[in-house]
Amino acid sequence: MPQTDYVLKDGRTLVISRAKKEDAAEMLAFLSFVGKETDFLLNDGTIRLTLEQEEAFLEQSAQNPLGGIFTGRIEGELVCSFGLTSQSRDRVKHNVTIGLTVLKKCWGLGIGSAIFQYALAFARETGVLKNMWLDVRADNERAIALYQKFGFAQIGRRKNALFVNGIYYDEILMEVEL
Amino acid sequence: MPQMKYTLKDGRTLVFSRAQKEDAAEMLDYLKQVGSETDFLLMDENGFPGLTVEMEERFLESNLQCESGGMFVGRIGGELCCTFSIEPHPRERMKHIARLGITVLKKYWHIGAGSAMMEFIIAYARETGVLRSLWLEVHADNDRAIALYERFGFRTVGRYTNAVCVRGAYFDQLAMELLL
Repeated sequence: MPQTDYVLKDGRTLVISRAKKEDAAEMLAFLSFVGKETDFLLNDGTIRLTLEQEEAFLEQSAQNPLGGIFTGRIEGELVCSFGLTSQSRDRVKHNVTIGLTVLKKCWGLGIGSAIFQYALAFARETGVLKNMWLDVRADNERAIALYQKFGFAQIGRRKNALFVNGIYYDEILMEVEL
Repeated sequence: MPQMKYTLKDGRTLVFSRAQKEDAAEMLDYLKQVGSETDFLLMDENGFPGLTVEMEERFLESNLQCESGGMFVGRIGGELCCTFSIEPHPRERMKHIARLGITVLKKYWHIGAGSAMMEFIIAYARETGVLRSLWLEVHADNDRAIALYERFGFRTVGRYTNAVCVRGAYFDQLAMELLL
């Protein structure tokens, strides 16, 4: 099991754990909130899942040894979440994709770094995963810098992949070998 | 819908249609057959283990609802000879992009089935009025497929290192895209 507690720049502790079915309502509220704080995500704050669907999704994710949905809490408050999405097909199951979201008021504390320390350790510990992938909007400089800090390299770019508030943005594809 | 019938190099006619729920069992057999004929696909001679006829029926049924994509089959004289899927991204901010996957049974190679599929797919995608680009992933050594895609305007936009493991050996995968 990777380390779950991370001391942040302001001295507080971030506790990372797997999301549970019981977190469903809180997760939907969190996603709805963060989607409106930033334009860089696929999430625009519109929630298209019902509580039951989110519960089922979290319950299923909790069973996955090669991935899942994780939360980060500071003194019990949900401040970030990240997903490790696995591949079902045998020939590509050694790859996992990461996506993350941090509450804006908690930017700059080192949460992103904590997430990657955890996620990379988790992925390596599986003994199965060999590559981690992610996609990022081409102009999301802060995120790209974080990813590069953890060894991700750009391996591609898709033109006009994201359509946000009437504007098309390219998407950068990144990978790191575990 | 774009033209559904294509005359192949040997004079036979290839007919495209949406895969139907009733095709489920045939599709599972087809996946095993085509998986056994080439190492360039994600499935092998076992098809996709764990995929039952019921699951495939549900998958095909839900695909019928898709307005900017779906699962399609090509038949020659009624026989299933090729398949292709057009999968629009599920998220709102990316639904103008669809992922493409194609397969052709080996005995039907070299007669233009791949080209016919690409013609149909691109015409279909443009007609949706929603899709603005298509993308696909291809085994980096699959020269024939890469040449087909490039002939229809696809360009390599990325390369995933060791993305595919086939019988213990790792191969890169190219990401290619076509702006419609």
